[in-house]
Amino acid sequence: MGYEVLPRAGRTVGPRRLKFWCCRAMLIALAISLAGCSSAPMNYLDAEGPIAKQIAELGWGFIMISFWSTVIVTGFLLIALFKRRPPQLAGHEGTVTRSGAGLTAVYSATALSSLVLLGSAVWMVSVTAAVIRPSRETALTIQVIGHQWWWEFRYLSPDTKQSFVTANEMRLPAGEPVRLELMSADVIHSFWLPKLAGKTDLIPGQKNITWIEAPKPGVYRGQCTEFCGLQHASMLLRAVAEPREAFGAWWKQQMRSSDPPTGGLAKEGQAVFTRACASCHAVSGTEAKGTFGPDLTHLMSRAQIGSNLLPNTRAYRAGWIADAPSLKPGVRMPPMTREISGRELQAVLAYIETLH
Amino acid sequence: MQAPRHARYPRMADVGKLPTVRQRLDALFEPTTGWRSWLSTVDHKKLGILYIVTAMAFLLIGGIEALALRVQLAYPSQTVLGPAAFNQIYTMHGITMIFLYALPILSGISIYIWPLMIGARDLAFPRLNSFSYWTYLFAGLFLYSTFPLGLAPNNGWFNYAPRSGATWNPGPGMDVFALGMVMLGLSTTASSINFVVTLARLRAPGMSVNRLPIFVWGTVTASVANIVIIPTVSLAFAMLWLDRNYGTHFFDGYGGAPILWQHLFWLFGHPWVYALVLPAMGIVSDGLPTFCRRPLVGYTLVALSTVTTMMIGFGVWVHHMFATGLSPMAMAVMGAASIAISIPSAIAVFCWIATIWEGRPVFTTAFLYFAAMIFLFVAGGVSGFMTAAVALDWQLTDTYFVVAHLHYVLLGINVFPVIGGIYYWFPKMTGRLLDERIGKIGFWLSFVGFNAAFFPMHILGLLGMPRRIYTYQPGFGWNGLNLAVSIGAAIFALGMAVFIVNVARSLKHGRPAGNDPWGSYSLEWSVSSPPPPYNFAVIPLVGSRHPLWEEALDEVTGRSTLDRGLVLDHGRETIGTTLLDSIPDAILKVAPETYVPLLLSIATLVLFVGLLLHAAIVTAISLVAIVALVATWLWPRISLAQRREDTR
Amino acid sequence: MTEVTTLTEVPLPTGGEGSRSVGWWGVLSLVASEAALFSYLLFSYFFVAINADTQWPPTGAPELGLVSVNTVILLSTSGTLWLAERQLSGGYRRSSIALQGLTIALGALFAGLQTVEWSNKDFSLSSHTYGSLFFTITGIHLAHVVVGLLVLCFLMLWTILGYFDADHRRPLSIGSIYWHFVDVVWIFIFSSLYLSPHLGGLHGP
Ligand code: HEA
Ligand code: HEA
Ligand code: HEC
Ligand code: CUA
Ligand SMILES: [Cu+2]
Repeated sequence: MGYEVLPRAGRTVGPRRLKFWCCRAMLIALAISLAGCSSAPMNYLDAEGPIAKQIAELGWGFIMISFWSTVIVTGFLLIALFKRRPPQLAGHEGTVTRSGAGLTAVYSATALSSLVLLGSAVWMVSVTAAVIRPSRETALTIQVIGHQWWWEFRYLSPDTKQSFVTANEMRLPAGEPVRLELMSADVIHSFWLPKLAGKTDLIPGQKNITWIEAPKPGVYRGQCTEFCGLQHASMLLRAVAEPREAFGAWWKQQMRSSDPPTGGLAKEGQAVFTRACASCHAVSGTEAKGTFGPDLTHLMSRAQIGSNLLPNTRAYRAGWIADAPSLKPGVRMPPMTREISGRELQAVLAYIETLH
Repeated sequence: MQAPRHARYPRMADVGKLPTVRQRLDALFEPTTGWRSWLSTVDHKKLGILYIVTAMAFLLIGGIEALALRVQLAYPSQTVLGPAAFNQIYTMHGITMIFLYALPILSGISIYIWPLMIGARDLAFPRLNSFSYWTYLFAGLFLYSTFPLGLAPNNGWFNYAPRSGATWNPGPGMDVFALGMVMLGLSTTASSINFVVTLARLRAPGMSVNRLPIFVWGTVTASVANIVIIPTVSLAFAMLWLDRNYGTHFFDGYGGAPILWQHLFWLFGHPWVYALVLPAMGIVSDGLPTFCRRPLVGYTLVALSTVTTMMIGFGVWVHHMFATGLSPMAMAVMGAASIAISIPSAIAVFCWIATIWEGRPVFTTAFLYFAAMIFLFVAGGVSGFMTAAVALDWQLTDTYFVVAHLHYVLLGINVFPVIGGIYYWFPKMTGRLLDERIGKIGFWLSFVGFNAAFFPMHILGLLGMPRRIYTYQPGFGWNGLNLAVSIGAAIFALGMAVFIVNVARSLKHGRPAGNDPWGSYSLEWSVSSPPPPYNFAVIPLVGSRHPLWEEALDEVTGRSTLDRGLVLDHGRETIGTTLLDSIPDAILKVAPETYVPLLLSIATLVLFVGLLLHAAIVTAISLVAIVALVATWLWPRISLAQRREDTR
Repeated sequence: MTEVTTLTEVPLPTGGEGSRSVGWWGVLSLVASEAALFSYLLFSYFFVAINADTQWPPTGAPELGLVSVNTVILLSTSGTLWLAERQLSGGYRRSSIALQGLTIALGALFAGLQTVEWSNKDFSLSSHTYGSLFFTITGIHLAHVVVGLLVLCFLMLWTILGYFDADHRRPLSIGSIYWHFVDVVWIFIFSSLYLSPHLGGLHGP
């Protein structure tokens, strides 16, 4: 009784073609998207640094293993579904049998997969061990401190007088391994420059050590990758790698305190700054010593503001100071128009534009 | 051994020769009808349906939230949802799907099907079952209570400290999340204990462990795991609540350790994700043989792989924490263990394929969902295999690659088998079949939509798109793929809508099913559809793994008797059997329907509301009510053989 | 007439005592879950202790005087409860009731002394992580003791009402499993919170 609702076991063409089509589509999509996606600045399979390169190799390997495992297993599944079966006697459709010896195949496939998995595990462990420490002495230590939602960088030098603090734009000497000490001022963040290395978290009450190396001069994009609140999406990161000399010059420049402003408007701006901004922002060599927001001593040397969300142009600077939350909703800097007049805004702008 | 005074010999009889037994059992098992019976019921079938309907409603809500996310992310720099709304919606999407849909739906199906599969008249603790359901429902409502106010939890489903602490996240959302999770934990623990004890005591004579359907293996493995892991998450959330409200320092970074939260959470979280799939894999293991017209290839292997997956699953939690700066040794070990966990999964996959290979598949809608699951499991599993590679995960973690992985496994091995399972068991539950034509349209929309939505997420992840971002700028190569994801999600939702339409239509107009529309093999198909309140007029005697196929398979190990069995009609009774061999050793009483569990759940809800609002009086009153209700519940009763019959 | 035969050679008890009852399995599952809860609490304790960068415990190793006495009191309740059960199974209901009463009294004494122990501490739940852990762990245990005492009270009431005898004492044996668990788990808490700091200290200068 009761088999009448079962359609005949048969070769349905529609589903089969569709499935085939799906597989093909995926393969093509994968190939197109990954084969050196030049317009994807965070594509880490097209890696640059020595860490990211080794990981990318591992990544391509694991992608291939995964892809072919899926294709082969799915292939068997499709054959199992649609293979030709000896016809059944009329009136015996749906009869139950216990034929066949599938178990041997199960055992062989399992053994084969186990071998592949074992090999993969060994490979994975060896790559992990290889990238965990740099092969050479690190030349430099940078402390990275995560804030909601911006980055603080402390360039440490054995001679503490040579150390300095900056924000959001990180400079690296090309071709040299750099040691990173990662910490957080509030919640957990994660430091990630995909073309150079994988992620390491910035955890309050804990100091994580990692390292990074940019092989050649250039700009590397990154982003905070641990959810850290409202503006996690806009906690962007930018690293500029430079040849040793340029990097040295930049260091020298960053070490210097700001020059006192000369123009009248800028002078007025500095007073406004000390009143309205200094509680949060520091400008070295002045009374402004706030640490709640980014250090602005050399603001004009940075290409972007708002943690690399906006270009560092006059219009954006003005808009930012007037009403940062409208550009970056939820940002921890209040709209300053409440504190300062339109003229004072012009003055502050003039002042911060002297901060080279 | 001297027999206790109240012992008796259970009678054996042919059900056909007992003309009045059904009427007597009807009166015993379903004394009231009407809408009130849904509140007081302890019948596993009614509670199972309540569970399934509620969980599907949460799937719908979570799905609509997901569609909102996809509208926002379809194009770069959109402002459909601001960051505050987006963060709440993605968090509630995760909470809803993981906690309020994925496990409850499996519990619901198990609650409905288990007793029928193993030849019992109910679960071991019918009243506890009712308590589980109501507490689940109330915890769900509690978790959603601040959503309409725009103050929902907003920190992701794993809720990392210290962003969950009072300093960085004031407002009621986090407290609601913390207390709601503790409350939901009560429900889950209760239902897990119920499954374990049911398995240990309530199987029909002869339903020895090597004859259990794999679905039963899956749920019991998940339940054992739940019993030990739920306390971690409840504890973690309770500690978080103390941190937020009473100034303790567990996770706050001032001596307290944010990383402790991660350990506690993932000690729970990883085993939990397997608890979300093992029963669903069981549905496939039991459904495939029916539609392939042959027993499962490698029954023992699949049962063992279920248990092994869970056991290894306890030792891999660190793979969610590879970027937190743990010791390389711990990471290498847990990474390797995560890769090793693929072996039991592979075995299950190969056994399913072998079953189809050796069988004669019948392409019903349910079968399509099951077969699709095999493909989706492999695709989702291999992406897990990639994230298990420690160094590689430093790149993959917290990108859309992980989002792709989790949707392939969660939808692939939970949603697909569940929908397939509903096509499979709907006729048993309602007496009517779902429409096959509409069903196939729904399947193909879902399957194509699913892959269109979630496959591109892998590539987005490889192109560096982080998860949990409410918007992104153009110029990263993510634009087109995000649009594809959103379109795919819409197609998938359409497939789900077709399924819902099918259910709604077939409830009234579906073809009558009869006892056994699929020609299946397990005990639930031997009773009418829907089954009578008492399930079995006589408790069947089980002689093999496929009680209804013995004739066809020419079973040699033993034959079952279905129409002839134990007559238990001295009150609401079922048979108690031994753990391994299922030899009868006691007659167990089945508790009668009552409002007490519902009232207890309400008192529990009030307790949690009192805690949330710091309302000491409300809390105190609800505690007193809880003690009184528990005492009423447990008060020894003669009808349940809990006390002497001859007390004064 | 109907054909009637039986499946089993011995008559089957209804409900069943001990491991034949569902309640026995239920309470064991509950105990497994609770045991897990306490393991995670102690895991948290040792995790914080090992990672502490100051002396652990920050207040120095805790005093052992009162708490040792209290430990003996709590452990003795397992003995009295066991005897109470034996008396009932031997048919001596009255002495069983007396022993149950004694168990409750000793349990209540433990709870009372525990609050004295708390008030002797010069730190609180919110002083530092150690304080949070100390009061949370002992507090959760104390909550279990209170629940256990409530259970024992009801069991005693039911025994007084004559519900139980040698053949019907399932609720008593099931309830006492929970109580024994509460006792055993205290040994682990006592060893971790009180004894381990005296064994040379986990961490610190
Ligand atoms: C639903 C359940 C489920 C299941 C079954 C799995 C299965 C697996 N998961 Fe997954 N996982 C999740 C749910 C699940 N996961 C979720 C929800 C998250 C995200 C949490 C969050 O961050 O929000 C996650 C995240 C997650 C991570 C963390 C990623 C990160 O955040 O960085 C890792 C890392 O190792 C991982 C690994 C694995 C592995 C190795 C398996 C294995 O069990 C898979 C084994 C199966 C197979 C491999 C396929 C069958 C095998 C073959 C056909 C043999 C041939 C195969 C090969 C040779 C490779 N998972
Ligand atoms: C079982 C679990 C489950 C399920 C089924 C889904 C289903 C879906 N998920 Fe979800 N998802 C998770 C579990 C799940 N998800 C988890 C755990 C996270 C991580 C959260 C975190 O990071 O904390 C996550 C995160 C997550 C993200 C990442 C958010 C981020 O990191 O910023 C996205 C983004 O696209 C997404 C999308 C979707 C989509 C499009 C669906 C679709 O499949 C939904 C399809 C729709 C339905 C099933 C409903 C049916 C619809 C209808 C009947 C139509 C009728 C209604 C209308 C047309 C309005 N999910
Ligand atoms: C309440 C604290 C606070 C005050 C007051 C404040 N800021 Fe800020 N400011 C911040 C924070 C925090 C950020 C980082 C925001 C981000 O990117 O998320 C910031 C960022 C900036 C930036 C961009 C820096 C970069 O590298 O991205 C500029 C420029 C700036 N502030 C200027 C000012 C000026 C000028 C004033 C006074 C008129 C001012 N701020 C007042 C907190 C403050
Ligand atoms: Cu900082 Cu995300
Ligand atoms: Cu995991």
